Amino acid sequence: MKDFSRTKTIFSLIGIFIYKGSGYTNQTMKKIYLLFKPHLLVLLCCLGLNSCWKLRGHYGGPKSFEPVERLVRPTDVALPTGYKIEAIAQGLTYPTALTFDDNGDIYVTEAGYSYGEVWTQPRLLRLETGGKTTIVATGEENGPWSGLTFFRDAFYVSEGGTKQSGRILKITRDGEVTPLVQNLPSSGDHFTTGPVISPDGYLYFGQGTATNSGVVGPDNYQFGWLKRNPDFHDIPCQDITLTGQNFESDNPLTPDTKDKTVTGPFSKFGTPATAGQVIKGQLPCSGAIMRLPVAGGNLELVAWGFRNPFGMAFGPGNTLFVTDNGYDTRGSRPIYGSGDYLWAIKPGTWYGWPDYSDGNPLNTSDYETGKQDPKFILAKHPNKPPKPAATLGVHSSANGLDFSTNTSFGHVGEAFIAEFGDQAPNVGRIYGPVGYKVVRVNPTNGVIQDFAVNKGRVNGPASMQKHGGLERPIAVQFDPNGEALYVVDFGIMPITEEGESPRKGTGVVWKITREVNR
Amino acid sequence: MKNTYSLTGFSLFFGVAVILLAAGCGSARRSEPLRGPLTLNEQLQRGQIVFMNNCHKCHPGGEAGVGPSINNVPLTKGILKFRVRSKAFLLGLGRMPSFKKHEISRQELNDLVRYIKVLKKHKEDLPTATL
Ligand code: HEC
Repeated sequence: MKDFSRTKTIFSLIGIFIYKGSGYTNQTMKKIYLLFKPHLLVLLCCLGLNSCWKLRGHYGGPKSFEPVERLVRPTDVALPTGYKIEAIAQGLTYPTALTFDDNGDIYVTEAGYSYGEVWTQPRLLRLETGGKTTIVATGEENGPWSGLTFFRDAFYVSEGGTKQSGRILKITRDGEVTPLVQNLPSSGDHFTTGPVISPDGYLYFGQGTATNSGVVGPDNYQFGWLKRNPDFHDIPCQDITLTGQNFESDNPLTPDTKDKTVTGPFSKFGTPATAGQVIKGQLPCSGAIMRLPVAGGNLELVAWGFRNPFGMAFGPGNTLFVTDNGYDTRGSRPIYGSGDYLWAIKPGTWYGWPDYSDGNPLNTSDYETGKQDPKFILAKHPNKPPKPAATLGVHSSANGLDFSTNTSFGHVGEAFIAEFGDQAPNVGRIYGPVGYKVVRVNPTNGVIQDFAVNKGRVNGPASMQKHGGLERPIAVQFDPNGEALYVVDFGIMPITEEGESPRKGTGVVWKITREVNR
Repeated sequence: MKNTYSLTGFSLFFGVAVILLAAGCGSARRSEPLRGPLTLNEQLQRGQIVFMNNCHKCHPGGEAGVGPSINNVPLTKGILKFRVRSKAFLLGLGRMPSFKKHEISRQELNDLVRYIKVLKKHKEDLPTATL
């Protein structure tokens, strides 16, 4: 009996999935089918409920930016034993980053732009006790302000540049804003990010790519920017040679819905490429980490071949670590199953975008989609891309990052990473919500563990759980002595049929401390 | 002969039913904030690293993501190994990549499967390393 049920079940199970050569006669199959027909419906329902996120209303509701009531209840967040979470600020609009000045006061940026195409005023706020805020500086309609740091009496902000171009801004304590870097190629899918300042006085920042995988397409029209910037495309950091592959797509820029166009990589929408074509490298460029002396000076390339290098922090051994959002299954060159990455940065290295993911070549069946089998678009690769320090969930949107340095908080040397959460189904199909939590990562062996997650039967944002936990964590920051971890929670942003629906006034800042010291 | 067919057929559908029903019901969540820390011996630590390098991105912590949850599905060691090595699933329509011996060695696959089994059984206050 044991023999029979185990081995046979396994093989017959496999059998139905492979079917071929299973040896069942049609009649037997029919009999079995009739016998179990009533159960099939139940089974299919179960499968549907279990696997189809869409059924759970992820695609629900009309698109709106209007504020909604957000329940904030720390007990809905699960943490390892000994840790405590509290909300220290609420009602923020699209908060993205947090830092401390030399007095230990807390400052937060509000983005001023969100996916879904909504512009508000970017702001730098000081958090006062009791959850009140004071405005330190405001920006132009050119958000998102995506990152913030403080160094020697000034704030440094990365400005996404949706309306003009990307910039790094220096902001004095009395709110005077001067650009330190301008004209960054930040009007596409991904923005100017960072910044962090090294002990030797260099300001490092990231610049995300214009597109998902190198080719401008209808997905960028859906995002909104292709309408605003029809000439915009990715810029390589060094000279590249193209294989000549081109991509046919609908042309949403003309009123004729049947109109098609052909676009090459690193080219403007509707411009085909040729085999052997050389695209000149430039600085600034797309998908790169760049730096300059914080006092001002020449821009230098640190590393490139990233897609959306969002979070950065100096980790053990003063190595720069960067989180990078992997490819989506969208657009003219969709890629399946690409994770988000934590990279340890080796200066001068190319990290693989747009032909590698995870250090693996994209031209294998692992990454193919029903639409197209990804092929290399670069004829030569600058170097063999390195392996990541860790591979995070596909579509988890691994964003802000900081390292624990204090034994009283624990996990010294581990990276804490804010996972913003998926934007499915626009980025690809999923069986369940990914991200919406804070994880800790051991950068030496790549092991990832949940740190702060919502309670509930399945993982997901608080608005889906119908409780008062985490929504979309976007940044994490330890206080200067490493005793408390602050989590910036962007707020409620469901994905609707018309795209992202980020709700104003739903952002929260959480603070996590350890109650008992070992 | 005929009898064997229908019995096989029964176990076939029963197996599918168990898997799908289980997948529809139990929670797949096993992580430290919810279930407490998981104590791992050396083999399980190796298995955890294989999991993190190869599986976590689509089955985060064994929960659903780009792939379905695998913590709440009763899968035998044999099925697990088969799923990792072979791409054929649902008439070859499956999306999960297959992992060949140069990607996951036989030893690593044993460690991985052990780790998945232990992770699945992880409940609070249970001395899990002994499972
Ligand atoms: C690129 C994404 C991806 C990766 C990586 C991946 N899987 Fe999967 N996995 C899937 C998908 C999608 C399915 C659903 C069936 C299918 O489409 O093949 C699945 C199904 C499974 C199943 C069957 C679940 C059931 O209910 O029958 C098991 C077991 C499994 N995966 C284990 C693993 C293990 C172990 C690894 C690592 C060695 C792994 N997977 C890596 C995507 C992935």
